[in-house]
Amino acid sequence: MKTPISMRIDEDLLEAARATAASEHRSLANLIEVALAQRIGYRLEDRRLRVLVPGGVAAVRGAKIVPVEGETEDEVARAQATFDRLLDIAEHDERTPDASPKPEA
Amino acid sequence: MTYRAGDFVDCAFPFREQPDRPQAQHLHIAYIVRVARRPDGAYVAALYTTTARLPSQPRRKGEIDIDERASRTMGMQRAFTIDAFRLLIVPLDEAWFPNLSTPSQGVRGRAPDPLRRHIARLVDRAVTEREPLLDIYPRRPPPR
Repeated sequence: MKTPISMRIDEDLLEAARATAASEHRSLANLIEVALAQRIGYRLEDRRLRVLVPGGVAAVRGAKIVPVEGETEDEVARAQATFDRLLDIAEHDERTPDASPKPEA
Repeated sequence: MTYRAGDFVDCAFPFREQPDRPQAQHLHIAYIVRVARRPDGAYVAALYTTTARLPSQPRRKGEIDIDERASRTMGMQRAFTIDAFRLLIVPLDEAWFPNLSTPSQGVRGRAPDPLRRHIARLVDRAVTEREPLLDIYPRRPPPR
């Protein structure tokens, strides 16, 4: 997911970055993203959540989450929605294995 | 007593090659995202963790590095990585958690609340990222 940010940057540096991005046929945002990833040792890749439910999703459907101490009703409701969505993802991956994230090496 | 969201526990996390088979001979520490209950028993959503990632390896999307100092404050010994993109949902039983009936129940440590919330947000975001795909492939066939 891409999140927009706004920041202040040195004008000359920005000019140079724009020129570099143009010469490499890429956007300024992509140039900055890649440079930042390299700087902090982060591997940019299209990696997605993989949910394994070895016993099958049907066995878990309808399970109600156990609230954590101090959680509000809203937080519990959100956590329940996330848990149900995790089962949706596992079910989707069971049904359409070709479209699912592949196991990684 | 049972596991709670935020616990680090011994888990027979399956190998990628055999996702249906608990690996009781190769226990991993798993992070408990949630415990859920049905009338027939409890289920656990757990994340994979590893101590095998080298500091020189670039971090990947979904990975959270815990350094040795933080690890010790949570009750463990070594630096490790939590993979928020590798999630397992299994019954809370001895097949998947072989140390469940020991005095410690195989609980190795516990994440502080801010980390637990951070991981919950990361899982939420990972779910949101998968949603467009779920819309393309409806989860249930349309009624005939």
